[in-house]
Amino acid sequence: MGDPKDVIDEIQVSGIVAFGSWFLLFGVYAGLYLLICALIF
Amino acid sequence: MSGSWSVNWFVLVIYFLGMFYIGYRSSKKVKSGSDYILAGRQLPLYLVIGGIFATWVNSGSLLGYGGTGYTVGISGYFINVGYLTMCIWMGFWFIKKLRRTGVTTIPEFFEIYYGAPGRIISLVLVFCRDMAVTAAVSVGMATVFMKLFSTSLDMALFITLCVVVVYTVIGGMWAVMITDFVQALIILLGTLIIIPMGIAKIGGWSAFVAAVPPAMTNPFSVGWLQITAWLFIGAFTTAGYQTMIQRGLSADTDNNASKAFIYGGVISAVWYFIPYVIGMITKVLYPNIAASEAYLTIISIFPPFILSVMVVAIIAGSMSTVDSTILTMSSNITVDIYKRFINPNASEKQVVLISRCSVLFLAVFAVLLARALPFILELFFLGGRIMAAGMAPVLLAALFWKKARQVKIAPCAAMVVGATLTTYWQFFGAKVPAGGPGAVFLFWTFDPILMGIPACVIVLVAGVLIEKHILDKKAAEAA
Repeated sequence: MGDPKDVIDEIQVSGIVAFGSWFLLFGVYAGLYLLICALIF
Repeated sequence: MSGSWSVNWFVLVIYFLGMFYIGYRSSKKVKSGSDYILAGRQLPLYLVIGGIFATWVNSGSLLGYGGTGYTVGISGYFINVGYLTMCIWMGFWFIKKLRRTGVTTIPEFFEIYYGAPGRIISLVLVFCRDMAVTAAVSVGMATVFMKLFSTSLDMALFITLCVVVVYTVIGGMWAVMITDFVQALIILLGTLIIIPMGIAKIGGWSAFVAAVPPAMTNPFSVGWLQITAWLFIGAFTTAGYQTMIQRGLSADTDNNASKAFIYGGVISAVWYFIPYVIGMITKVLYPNIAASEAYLTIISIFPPFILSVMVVAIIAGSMSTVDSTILTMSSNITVDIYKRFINPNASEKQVVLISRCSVLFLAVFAVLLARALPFILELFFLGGRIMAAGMAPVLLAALFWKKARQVKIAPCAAMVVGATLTTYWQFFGAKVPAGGPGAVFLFWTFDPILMGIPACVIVLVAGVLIEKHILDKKAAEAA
């Protein structure tokens, strides 16, 4: 294991991709929630 | 809710003995501080998934969210969407990045980039969250025990926490994760029985949908402001939730850590429909009870043995959360205080001893806190909000924004500003009267976290850019 200050950059992902994917995930999750609600009620 | 007293005791004693046995077997694996706190970073995938699921599910899930389902219906589910989205998301990059640093605790991570002040500030914020959860869930667990066995609250707290402390003290993370796995199975099976039996009692699913008030089946009935606040609270409390993060740090490989967050999050997302539907079923069957009594009321319709399993399910759910939060705080006392500031050359034996003593001390402290502040759900979210608004944005920035790792002052200032503003608003912000729709959570006219997080982010971004600019200028002048 290298210097903890540097090893974090071994996994490259831009902030925009990282946080954009959160919103994408949220959208999918909220969509599934609404679908389930529509199906069962 | 009394059921058969002897059957309840029988089921509970068997369960407690099982927990002790797991603790005893786990103690044989503990040889070092890393074994005790992170199970030697050797946990297999299925145990980490079980641990993540069991940590999400506790007395608040069944009593609190069941009560929310009883009050507002299915739209209460949005409470969970924020944190479960974050849990699944953390599986993709977050946990892998953090594992690369080799840290044991979150404050340890902060010291790498922000020095001792970063460690101390984040330590206080981690404690805000975990101590609040420990105290709140302990009270929830003891309340169920008290009602079932007709004891005093103090006696219930004493018995339930004694069991947790014994297996956690002797077995550490191995015991916590194995018991969490067993408890996850009990919760899943126990709560799954309730819905078909409750629906059958109403007369079938169609009869249930026809009988439930229409507003309760509206997915957005709580309103967008409340939904936004829940998303913020959920996402940011999860991003800085050290108890959860340490599950990922305990996994045997990076890939298994990632998978555990994703699978554990998805399983929890599906399961979390259960408490709200239970709340709605209870509303149809018992329309005039207190919301907080929804779960305890509906399980009383079952025969004695099933009732006992239901009660054990809720006690199991609470134990799996309390053991985790106590252990994680014990790791902070050991790694971030004792080994960092008091005895940097501590031997492995000393580290394990201090960890074990800390578990005992923290359990006692949690009981005192719980008895001093008996409002369970607000306590649960009080500490969570402070940590979320203060620490989580900075932790995310440190992982995903290189500039935020190249400065020292701005991130610490952002943590202090976010936490202070949230704390101030929680005490002095305008509140709505308790008892209205969603009042269990909608306590302020404007949720404090909606003040704290933007303030933290503004100070963080502006501060990092200014500080970096000054540092670059100084470096250019020196060259």
